Amino acid sequence: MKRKNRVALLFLGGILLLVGITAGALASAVMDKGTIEILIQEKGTDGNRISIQVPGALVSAALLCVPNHLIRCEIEDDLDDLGKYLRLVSTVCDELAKLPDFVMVEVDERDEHVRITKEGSRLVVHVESDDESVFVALPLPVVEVAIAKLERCATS
Amino acid sequence: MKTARNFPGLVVGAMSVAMALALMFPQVAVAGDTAWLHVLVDEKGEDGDRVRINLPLNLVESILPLIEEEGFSGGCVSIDSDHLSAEDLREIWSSVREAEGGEYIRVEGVDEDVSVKREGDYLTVEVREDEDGSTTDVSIRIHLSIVDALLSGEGEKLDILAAIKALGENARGDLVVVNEEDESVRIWVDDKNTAD
Repeated sequence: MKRKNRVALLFLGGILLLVGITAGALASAVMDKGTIEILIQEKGTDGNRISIQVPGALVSAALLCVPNHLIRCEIEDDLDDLGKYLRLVSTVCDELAKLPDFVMVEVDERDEHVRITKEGSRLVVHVESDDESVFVALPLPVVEVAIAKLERCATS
Repeated sequence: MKTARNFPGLVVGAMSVAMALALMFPQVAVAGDTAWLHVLVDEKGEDGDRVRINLPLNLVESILPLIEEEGFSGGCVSIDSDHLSAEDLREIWSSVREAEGGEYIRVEGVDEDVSVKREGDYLTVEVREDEDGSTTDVSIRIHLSIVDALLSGEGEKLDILAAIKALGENARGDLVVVNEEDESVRIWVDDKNTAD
């Protein structure tokens, strides 16, 4: 192979490497935070359907943009209790993240079925009743970002 | 031969793909060695309700010290009773610990039988109750180390956190089994994350 061709090939490889790293980093940022999903389906022919799917990365970014003093105004009265619960939720998230997927709670009643599971890095709540079907998936990393933000607001 | 000539480009290309994949999948959840507490409530009959709860004991151990409520702090619950103090419980337990294994209590009533036994490292309580023609069987089986841990708290405190730790370390199998005519309850510990 001529020297000129080899340099061109290396240059191409370098560009490929950069594109790969950038794509990977972007995908990682989005996948890390998962997607918040809320799906409510009313039963019956006239049943309404509400479907919300928001990338967790977007929610995390939006949370970081909210000024701390605005949140602090809202939580000022409950700071003592809030700190306690934030630590609790944060610990639960940390511990859940270490665990394999599992069904935490499953309730089968005649007219209602409730299932709370840990699936990958998200907590999923699925309620199926005669009237409606509700599905909520909450990525744990987004919860952690929200907790960190609230803690910052509480201490600022 | 062409492959050999293109080797630098191939290496760089492979590295870029590998790095992209590594960034996309930074971590894989690994099943820990934690013990799992399972609760199963099963109402008999076709329309009977069914509840299943699976809890990793590591999770319980982590959150217990963070719970601060009246009478509960640092993973310990305070006994507030005029009739029985934690010290009384420790004394009773000390006597049980020193005694040899066997049946300590047996009550045979008209509509109720109670038996408390020590079998090896386990304390078992069995109750059979007959009421209005229906029978309830209750069986409780607790590893001695769990009670040791529970009573290791200071003063009037029972150390729930230490008991949970002992549960994870020593207890495998059924803790509580209740069989009624129309309902059954089972609480047990094992290494699986499912209640199957």
